[in-house]
Amino acid sequence: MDRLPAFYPLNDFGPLMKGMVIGGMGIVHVFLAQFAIGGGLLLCYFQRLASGGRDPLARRFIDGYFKALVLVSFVLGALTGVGMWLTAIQVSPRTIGVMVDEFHWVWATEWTFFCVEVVAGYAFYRCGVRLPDRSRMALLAMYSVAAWFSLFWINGILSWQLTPGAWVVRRTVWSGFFNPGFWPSLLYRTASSMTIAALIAFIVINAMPGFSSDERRGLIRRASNLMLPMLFMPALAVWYFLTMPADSRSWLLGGSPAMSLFLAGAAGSSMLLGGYALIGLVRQRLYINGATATTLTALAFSATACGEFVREGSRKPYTVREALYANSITPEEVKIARVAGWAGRDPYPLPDESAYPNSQLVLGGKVFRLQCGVCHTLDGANGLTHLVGTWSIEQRRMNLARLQHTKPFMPPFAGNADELEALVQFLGWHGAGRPRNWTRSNDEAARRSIQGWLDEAGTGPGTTPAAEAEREP
Amino acid sequence: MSEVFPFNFPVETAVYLFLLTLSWALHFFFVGYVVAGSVYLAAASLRRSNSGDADPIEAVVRDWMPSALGAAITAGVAPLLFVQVVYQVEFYTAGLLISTRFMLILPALITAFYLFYVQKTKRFANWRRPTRAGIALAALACVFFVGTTWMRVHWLTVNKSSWEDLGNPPLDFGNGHQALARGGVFFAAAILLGSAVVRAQLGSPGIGGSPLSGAARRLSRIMGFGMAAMIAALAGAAFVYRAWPGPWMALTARADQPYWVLMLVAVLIFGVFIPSRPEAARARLRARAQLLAAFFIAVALAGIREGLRSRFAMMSTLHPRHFSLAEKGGWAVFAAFAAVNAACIAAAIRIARSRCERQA
Repeated sequence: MDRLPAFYPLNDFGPLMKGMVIGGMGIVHVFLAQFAIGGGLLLCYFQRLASGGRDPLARRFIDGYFKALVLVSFVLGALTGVGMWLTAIQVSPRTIGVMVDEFHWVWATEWTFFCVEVVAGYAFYRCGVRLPDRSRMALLAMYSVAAWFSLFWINGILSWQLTPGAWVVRRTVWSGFFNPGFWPSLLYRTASSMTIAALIAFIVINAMPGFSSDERRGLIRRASNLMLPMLFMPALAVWYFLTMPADSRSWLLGGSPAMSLFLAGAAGSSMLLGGYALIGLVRQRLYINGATATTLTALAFSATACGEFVREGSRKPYTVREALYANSITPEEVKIARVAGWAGRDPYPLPDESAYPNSQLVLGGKVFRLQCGVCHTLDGANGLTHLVGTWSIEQRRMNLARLQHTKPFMPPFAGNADELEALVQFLGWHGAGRPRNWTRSNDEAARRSIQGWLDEAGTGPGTTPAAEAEREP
Repeated sequence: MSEVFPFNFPVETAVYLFLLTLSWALHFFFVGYVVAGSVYLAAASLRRSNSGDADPIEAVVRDWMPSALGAAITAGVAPLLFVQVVYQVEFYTAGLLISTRFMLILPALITAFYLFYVQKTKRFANWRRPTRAGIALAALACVFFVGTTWMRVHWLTVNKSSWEDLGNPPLDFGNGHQALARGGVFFAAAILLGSAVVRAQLGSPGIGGSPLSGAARRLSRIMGFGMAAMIAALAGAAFVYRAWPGPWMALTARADQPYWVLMLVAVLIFGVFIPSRPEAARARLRARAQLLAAFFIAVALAGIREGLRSRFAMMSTLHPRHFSLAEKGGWAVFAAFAAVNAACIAAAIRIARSRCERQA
């Protein structure tokens, strides 16, 4: 038998879905990190204006903007980056473990750029006001290039999760890093970063004291130029969309109503934002006050949130395409689990194990923790009690055994018939209010039915031609 | 050489352990400043009725604390990465066993940063003493919480037997005496590191201004206290650890002995260069020697710490994993960019410093 992976003492977050926790952290981090990246480019642009004497206000604006960048992005952006690791360990240790294993040298390289970003940033923050233009430009350029390269490295890892490309066969760092989604994603995020930086510049320009109305108008017009790359965003989005696997595309095009709605949210918010920016700000040179700028920034945050949800959701049923399912079990391990079981090997007790009436329910609780807990709660968000509450016990057995065909964005059940029956009993017991007594199920006929459905469903995902072939008689 | 930690392991494991140890030493260099600085600011806020710039040490620490915490966090990313490479299962399990506390590291660090930033604002000096003391103590509490949480994580990674008590993990830092001994050594090292950096800052025009005789005297006293604390903490640690054969054998193993020697040499160098009078000859050179000694202390601590952990981790079972990870490729890109980016960092510091000094 293959070497088994380590089990971890996984925790649940009560009514909060784990995906919501890491998603929330991820969205805040992405937004702040993109602000830092776009901010560097924007500052270089303004420093160039200052150096050439083309805008006497540029230097003053840079010093004000940089303070916001340091106080918000340097602190919250950097810490939420670390927070992503800490949260990923809590949510799905095996997934982050695989990512670290594959790309630790890429991450280490990214860290060296992060160090440059922070040192150049703090050097500018502390001494920038006293520096001549040339030195200021040197520091800002270092900061900006390093920040963009941080995106470059992390983008390779993130896009690899959905479109691993040749890595599936070669398993080398660079075949995974330069994957089909790498370039469209990198360019899209660069344009997005510049937009966010410009929007926050509008807020800063309105908040900074000492500028007259005309001066603010002039600075806003300059900053609007950073939004011009938004023109390319629809084409880049289509390019990225075309690199996605066919089944992932199908979720976005109606296969999953939630994902289609989030896609519409991302596209709609971006179009509204782009329309206002390009027609109103760039072409008609409208003035934008602080309240409107804040509203537009909120809209950009909403577009980022929807976009990240779509990116994360479209990977289903995988967390690393064709290598690791969302519940951190590999396709090969599913085959092993079907024969020898999976949750039964989990050495870690459940938090309230002594309150369980029998060992079958304990096993069911472990099956839930290992296989369902990463995307579902029991009673809270995406709660299984609600989702299967109206199913009969026969339906539960069949639908869970044929999970990847019941809902194609679900992974196949990774366990044997006994573990599946344990899960069914656990859900029934929990749905009944966790009574003190619960009879152990020893229905041999039910066990045979489950085994038949498991065999019929096969061990492949529900979306690939191979799985379809397995289903054929 | 091949008997010195981490080179007493196969090359793949040794490389990862070397990077973990070195990056942790760099991280601790900044952490030392943050720990010592937050204690100093808390003490100053309790001591004086009016927070002003009368004390140059307080002024320079107050000014630099947010940046120092930022540097500590930035430097902390690398050991956080390499610990996942070397001790993945142990580290993840430890983080999961103290889940809530592990996740609270993040808000604690954010809170600490903004509290340090508030302390450097001009407005802060005009606030009433209870308010100022409350802010300084809250920042110190955040730093203490983060430090002790990482100590707890480390303890869990080397004590797998404690994983059995999973439903109800103990809330202390492991064995109380050992934790106290370790904490004492770290705190003493933090005082030495922090005071060495402050001395360099005070002596560097444009950063802290000219060193004042009063500040120099105070700094000498702090360094003397740090030396005494370090000797006492090391003696205490030896006394405590002797009672546990496993850790004691690991700490006195031949592979770790060079780190103890480095520690003693560093403490000696540190002691020799403690400022004895305000206008000592070649003050800057002496401050730099002390700074180097402080970094040696950080390296020695990192070596001893990771050497101890490696004894408990059964490296022979981990080596096949390190071997397969090393084969994945990408290290050459890391090495190349590490060199390029180190040069960029030096250039950025030079640009900023040269101008600041010229202005001063």
